[in-house]
Amino acid sequence: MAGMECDMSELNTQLAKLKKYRTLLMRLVQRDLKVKYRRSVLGYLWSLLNPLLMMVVLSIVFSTLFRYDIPNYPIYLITGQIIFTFFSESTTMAMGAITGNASLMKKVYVPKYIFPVSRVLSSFVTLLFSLAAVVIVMIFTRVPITPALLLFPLPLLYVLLFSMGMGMILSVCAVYFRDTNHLYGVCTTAWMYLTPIFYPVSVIPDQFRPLVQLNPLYLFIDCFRQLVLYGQLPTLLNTLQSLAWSLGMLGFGLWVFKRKQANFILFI
Amino acid sequence: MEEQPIIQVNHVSMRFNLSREKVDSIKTYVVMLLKHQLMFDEFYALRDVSFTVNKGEPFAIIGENGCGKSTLLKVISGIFAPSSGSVKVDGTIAPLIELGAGFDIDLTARENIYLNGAVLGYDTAFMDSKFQEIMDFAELWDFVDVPVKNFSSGMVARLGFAIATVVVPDVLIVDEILAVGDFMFQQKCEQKMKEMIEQGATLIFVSHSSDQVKRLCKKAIWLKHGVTQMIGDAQEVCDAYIHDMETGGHGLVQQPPQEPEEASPQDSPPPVSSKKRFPVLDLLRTLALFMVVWDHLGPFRNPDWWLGRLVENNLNQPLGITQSFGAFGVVLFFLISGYLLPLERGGRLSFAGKKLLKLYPPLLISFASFWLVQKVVGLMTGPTFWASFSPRQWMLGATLLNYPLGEPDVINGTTWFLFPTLLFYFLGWLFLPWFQKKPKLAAAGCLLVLGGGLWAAVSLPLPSVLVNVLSFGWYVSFPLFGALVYWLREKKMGFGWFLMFSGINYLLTLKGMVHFKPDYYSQSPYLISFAYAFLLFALGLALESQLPSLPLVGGISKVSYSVYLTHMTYGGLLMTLLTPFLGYTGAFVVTLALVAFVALAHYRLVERPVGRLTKQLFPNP
Repeated sequence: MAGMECDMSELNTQLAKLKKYRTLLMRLVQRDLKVKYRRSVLGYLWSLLNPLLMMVVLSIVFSTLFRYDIPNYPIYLITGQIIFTFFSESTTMAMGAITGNASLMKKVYVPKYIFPVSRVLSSFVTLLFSLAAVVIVMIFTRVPITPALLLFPLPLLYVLLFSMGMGMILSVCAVYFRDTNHLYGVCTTAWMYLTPIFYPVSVIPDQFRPLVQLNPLYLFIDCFRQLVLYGQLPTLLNTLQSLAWSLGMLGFGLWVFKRKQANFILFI
Repeated sequence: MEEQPIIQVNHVSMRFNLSREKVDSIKTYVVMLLKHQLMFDEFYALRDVSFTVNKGEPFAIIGENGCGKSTLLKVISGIFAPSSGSVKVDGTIAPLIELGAGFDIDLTARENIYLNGAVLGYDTAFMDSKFQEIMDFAELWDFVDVPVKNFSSGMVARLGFAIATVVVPDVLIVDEILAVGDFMFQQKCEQKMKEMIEQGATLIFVSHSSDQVKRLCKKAIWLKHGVTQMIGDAQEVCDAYIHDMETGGHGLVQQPPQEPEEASPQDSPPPVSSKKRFPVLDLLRTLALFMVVWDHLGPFRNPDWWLGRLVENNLNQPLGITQSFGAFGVVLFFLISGYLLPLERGGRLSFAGKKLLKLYPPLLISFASFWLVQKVVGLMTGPTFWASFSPRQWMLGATLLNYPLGEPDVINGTTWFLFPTLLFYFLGWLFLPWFQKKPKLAAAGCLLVLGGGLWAAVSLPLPSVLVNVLSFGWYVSFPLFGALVYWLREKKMGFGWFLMFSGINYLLTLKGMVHFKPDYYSQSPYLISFAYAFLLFALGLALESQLPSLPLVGGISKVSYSVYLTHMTYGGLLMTLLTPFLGYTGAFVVTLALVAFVALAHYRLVERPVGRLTKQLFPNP
């Protein structure tokens, strides 16, 4: 019983802290966004234009060079691309969250998870802007609007939770090894090519197909495509796997972060 | 109500690892891991500090620069988690540790007020209501929309002070900030602080100016090099502090009673671990490792390599050393394992658990990781040599079961010696109490089992699995020699007994070799290498006091098992891949470096965590 009470009060203080620092989280997200588009003429418009332009470039390159047999290639591409871009951008930004806010952490007490979480959230805001780009492409390519579309927040939630977990782990790693920054760039590039973003799953040889199923980002992207492109509900297997990945990664990230956070201050 | 404690600091120590702060790249890390004693370069900023602050009682922390004042404040405000001890604070804290912490210099004063308010945990609506008051107090209305980077340091301090004091907190922590700003503003700040104290805030004040302390505070603590010198009435503590300063600061008072292990960071030796007691074994093990690695990555793979030939023609052949040091090194390993066995503490269960956990998980994981890597390489360059083995053979190899079943080695030359080691540990498990207490019985028991096994294998129609197991039995003689040497050296066994047991042991080795490995006996002078290994081992032990104890050697010895598991696998693969580009010598050098890296990673990620787990599961009595 005593243990239970202790856990409950621990949870309560954590929740109270979350409430207290909610404003800070919002401010940090705002600041990240402000800094990102500072002094650019188009500002936030870039989060919409970027995926659109990338989609145009990539679809020209790939539809002329490789000729994949994918119906409605532009939308296939942009759905995969915005999710992957969000993942790589948010985790890369979260990686520097602890080291980048070292001076603040050394002077004032703030819950430290705020920093990686705020970076991921500010990326997420960009992702939401990019959704407008998806809508534009959908209208131009006359994708049928189906009720399944209403479920679109689901894959976004998966990738958000997954990136948060990953971002926390990376931010911890970056504190102890600054080399992580450089290594991770290579990893995301490899990961991007291993994920069916601009090629269809069918080009992957049969014996490696099960490996693709193990790639969480493919699961999220596939779910998103099923909803947006094909108007189909995600399968039960996909839902379970995605949930397991995103919640598992978030839990693991929190666990790693909690274990290591007392030591950060000595290393930054 | 007066005596109600608001801050309780219980036995707080704060330790910094000086050298660790330098580790921010993998290269530095590897270097430091090898010289592992650097890890222990510690520095205590606070040692066992305890005090209580009552509600409404202004409290001062005094001491010279670097005595731990700021560290203590940061521990109280929750920025640092103490290395040991605990801090309990009832209520809210406004830390004025560094004014303007959390300012973003690119944002304007207005934006920073909201941001800094958020850092302190205030929401937007609240900051809206206090905005006017803050700007009035800071007197910065002319600069509301100017980025903070254009402010002077005094202006930043004013803004910071105004934000931090906008709410009357339960505890107000002030760290020598009143030195900034002009005189008028200093007065204003002191006035504000007095008001807050009157409204019920408890002041924690840090200074090395005793005038301010006497004026503001009732009680005080005096720290020197992180150690509490005095706690009590502010007047008295200040006077004692000033007196100490005037007499040159040599009136060092008591050290904390416990924690005898810490000395000053420069001359403290690293804590003695159980391995550290045998620097000579570290040295021998390192030598053995180099021998084995040289054999496997050098002459074994390319008998025509010029460097290999050079050593072979001028050293090994004249001296009769076989297998380019390979056998030599392995026998050294055996001798060391045997020498260490009588030192095992604890019962049979813990012995078995420790040995199995030490041996198996790293072995399994190294096989699994190598399987993955060679698969990936195979995808790029076409199937590797190892692709020809079936998954079943891989699994058998990773569990050492291929030896009793008579199946081929997946990774030639790496794991065969683990099997006799396991057999030896089985004997050790069987006779453990005797190994610890009654050496003669242990030796006799082992020889009996060895001889009996040999006899059975030679003369009885046994099933092939058993014969295969027994065919490795004669290697067990080598570690048994190690144990005999230990007993002789520690005077637990007389020289006569030693001679008798080793004589029988030698004859059993000979018989086993002739029977199971006739080519070892007839073609290659395996026993000569053994004799050299034995001599080197004895020489090392005899010269123990003369030999230097190098930290690098200790580090290499520590990772030797990891190197052993990975050198032939990753090393072999790398040699095959690199030789066409770099030539054999270049490939050898690069491979050595990369193998060292892989082995270190393996040690850090597998062997050490497993070792820790083992220690938790089977603690030493």
